[in-house]
Amino acid sequence: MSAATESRAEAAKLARLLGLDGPESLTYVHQVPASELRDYREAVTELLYDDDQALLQRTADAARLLPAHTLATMGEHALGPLICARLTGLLDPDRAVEISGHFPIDFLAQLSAELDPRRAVDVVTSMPGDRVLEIAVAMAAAGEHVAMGRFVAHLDEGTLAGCIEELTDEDLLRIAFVLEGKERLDEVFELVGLERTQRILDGAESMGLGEEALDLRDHLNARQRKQLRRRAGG
Amino acid sequence: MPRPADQLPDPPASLDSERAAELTVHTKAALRRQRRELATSVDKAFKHIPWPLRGAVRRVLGA
Repeated sequence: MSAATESRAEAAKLARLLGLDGPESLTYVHQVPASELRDYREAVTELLYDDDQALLQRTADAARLLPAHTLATMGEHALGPLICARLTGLLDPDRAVEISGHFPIDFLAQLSAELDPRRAVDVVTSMPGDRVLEIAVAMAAAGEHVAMGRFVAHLDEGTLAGCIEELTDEDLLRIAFVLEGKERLDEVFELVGLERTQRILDGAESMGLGEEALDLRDHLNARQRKQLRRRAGG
Repeated sequence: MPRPADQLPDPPASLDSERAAELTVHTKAALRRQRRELATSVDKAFKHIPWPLRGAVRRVLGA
């Protein structure tokens, strides 16, 4: 992966975190080393999650007094997806999953797009697989590929395979480009399968995702690349 | 106690000062947006709480 490509992927993640309109809002950081951008993004994430922590914790504590359906109504109609995302990791995981069962999928997709799954691992891993699948489809429809890239590492293989089946080739390529923990990209594409991987790579240029395809190819393991070469040659 | 946000992170060292300042503006805006949403939404949420529980919730919130 070229340094510029790596920086472009990091810039997209930073733009999403800052709530900017799109990755093009931060083209001026493409020359900054990816490691610097990653450190800055991590620092901003800490800043946003730690700000007003005491009030958020008291709000989470108060949530224990109320029934799940009431909390879901409050979450959807008063708190909104951003504040719900900040609260998610402060709630008891079972309770958070119970509340989420009352949210419509579109709201859960918006909430998930604001969530740092590392701060709510138990909630993410406790969500029913079919619900995760519905959220993934809604997030993809909303163009939230950067946010989706944060979740891949936290999904079990069955759920991940289900998501891969439901998402389009373009979605997969976009998510792969901004995936957190790209060292696992070869494992993810074992689930995608050789035939579909080839199709994704072949179709990338027509989707305007040539750089993303090159990046994906770079992250496949030696055996996968050899298989793809053999396939292309045969 | 100062809010953590009083210590904004330093922008990447490779950015020139003008771009660094621009990035900091975006970060401050994201922080302001979050604070605004939290401040307004907790108040708004109260109207959804059943009357008999409002006092108990207010006590936990320290409101």
